[in-house]
Amino acid sequence: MIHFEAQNLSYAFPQKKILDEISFTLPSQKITGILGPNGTGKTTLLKLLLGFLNPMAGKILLNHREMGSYPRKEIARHIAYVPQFSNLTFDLNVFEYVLLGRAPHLKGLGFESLKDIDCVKKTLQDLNIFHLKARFMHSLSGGEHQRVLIAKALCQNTEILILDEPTSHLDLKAALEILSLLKNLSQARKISILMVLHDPVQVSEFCDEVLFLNHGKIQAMGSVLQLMTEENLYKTFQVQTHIDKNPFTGKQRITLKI
Amino acid sequence: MITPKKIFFHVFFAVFVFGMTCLLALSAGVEFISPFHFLEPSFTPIGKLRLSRILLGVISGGSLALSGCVFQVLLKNPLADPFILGISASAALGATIAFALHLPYNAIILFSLLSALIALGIIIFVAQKKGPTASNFILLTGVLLGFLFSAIVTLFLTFATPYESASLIFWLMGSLSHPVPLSISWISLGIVFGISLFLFLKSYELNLLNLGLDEAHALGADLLKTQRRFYLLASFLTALSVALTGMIGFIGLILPHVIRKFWGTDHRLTLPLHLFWGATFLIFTDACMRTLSPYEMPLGVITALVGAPIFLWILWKGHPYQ
Repeated sequence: MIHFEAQNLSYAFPQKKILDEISFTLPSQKITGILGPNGTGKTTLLKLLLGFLNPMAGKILLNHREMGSYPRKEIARHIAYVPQFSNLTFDLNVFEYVLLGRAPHLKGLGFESLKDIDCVKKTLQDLNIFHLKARFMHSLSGGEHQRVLIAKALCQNTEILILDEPTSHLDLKAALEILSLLKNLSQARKISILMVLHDPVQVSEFCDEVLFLNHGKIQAMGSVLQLMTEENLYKTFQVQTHIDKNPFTGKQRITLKI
Repeated sequence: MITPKKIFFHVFFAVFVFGMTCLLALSAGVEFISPFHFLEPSFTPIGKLRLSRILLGVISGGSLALSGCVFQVLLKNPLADPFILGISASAALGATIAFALHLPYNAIILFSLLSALIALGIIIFVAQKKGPTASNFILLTGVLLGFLFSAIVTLFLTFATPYESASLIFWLMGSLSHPVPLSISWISLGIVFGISLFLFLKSYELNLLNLGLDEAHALGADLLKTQRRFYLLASFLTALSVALTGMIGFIGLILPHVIRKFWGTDHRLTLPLHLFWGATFLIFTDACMRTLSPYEMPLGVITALVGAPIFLWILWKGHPYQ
């Protein structure tokens, strides 16, 4: 079981402190949602956790060892990242794109083996997007696109999956499909998922744990059932809500008081 | 999916066409001479002249196509070409200084190369200093350096004698007729093949960079090291090409687009193809020009005349990445 921990992480842009002494341990094999208002440092936190930015203070531990001491490829075999959208310069078809997810496992010139091909085929089938394999990335709908990004990350075969606002460009149906898919994947593949979400309803319905981030600090972190309260939502978003039980799912139902 | 067998098959075909083109270029000209006759002593001087052009064609065509492809991925810009970072303008400035000082031809090559290396040094320094996310900053720095060096060259042209101006303009427009000693050409060819081999061995990293920095990083790429390596080698190829043949435009912009259209975007396959198809295109164009006209035509102008319609055709046909 993987151990992933942030210890006293701080980061600042010139003249602006973004993150201040962030410490937490990623709950294993659970889905954790990060909630917070715009500009509070959610994306910066993800970039630090992925090693894309170096913290100004504090450290990140992967299996109790500082992440900076690992080779990049080794980290990519433990942690996969799903961006909001792909940023390809020259387009690829879905199969070629997902196959690049095998990069951390390849050696030498990077020629893929039959095992890698089978992994991609199986992942595409599991995510019901095998029929898209010859389509170019730019021709996909938002929901299809997001599934392909997740497929590439799954091909990395990691224990941790980090997603940056996976539902931000999707309509209601596509967003629910993606979140259900992530929930199933977390259980079936025993993956720990950390994702930034904007909608507390999505966190309430699909996440096991929640991390409230406000003004660069952790306001609260723990079980969604315990922490998704009117008080925490008000402290985070300055919005009045009413919370009761959703009769259909049994989770918290969030109603806006406006 | 790319396999070693597929790469071998496509590269073998490209090398075969390249070989045939070299034979054609050796024979073709104002007078057609069978390749077997070059073994006779009376044809040796013509053979050496044509061989020199072929060697320069490989060095320049291959280098420009390769570096164009690398720059388009590094700068995330389909309009990038090998001259965009000011390397060529810097090489032109070096050549201009050598022209102004009335130095012999070998010194022009040396000055041009050294001057291009200065621009290369500035680019590498900026890439190192600003980190992996600074492609726009590097691009702007290169464009501004290009403007600066071009302005100095134009200033020289304004005050130069008509003879000096004509010589320099012909040099700048690019040609395979530059009197480069065969020994320098052979050494340069070895360097180009060496760098190409190294780029081929690292070609998968270019595939990762095509994904964008965040994703490439998340897949295990060492961005700073990878980018620095590609900037350095692609810029050096450009510098070498401009020093030996002047500025032959359009190959570095067009060939990568044409190759992507037919062979896709996997650089493990396309990088070696850039080397051989770039060389083939330039040698073939030069051979055609030598055959059709007894006058020495500026090759940069001809490649632009051929290249612009091809580019328009690609644009109008619709490309997967547009």
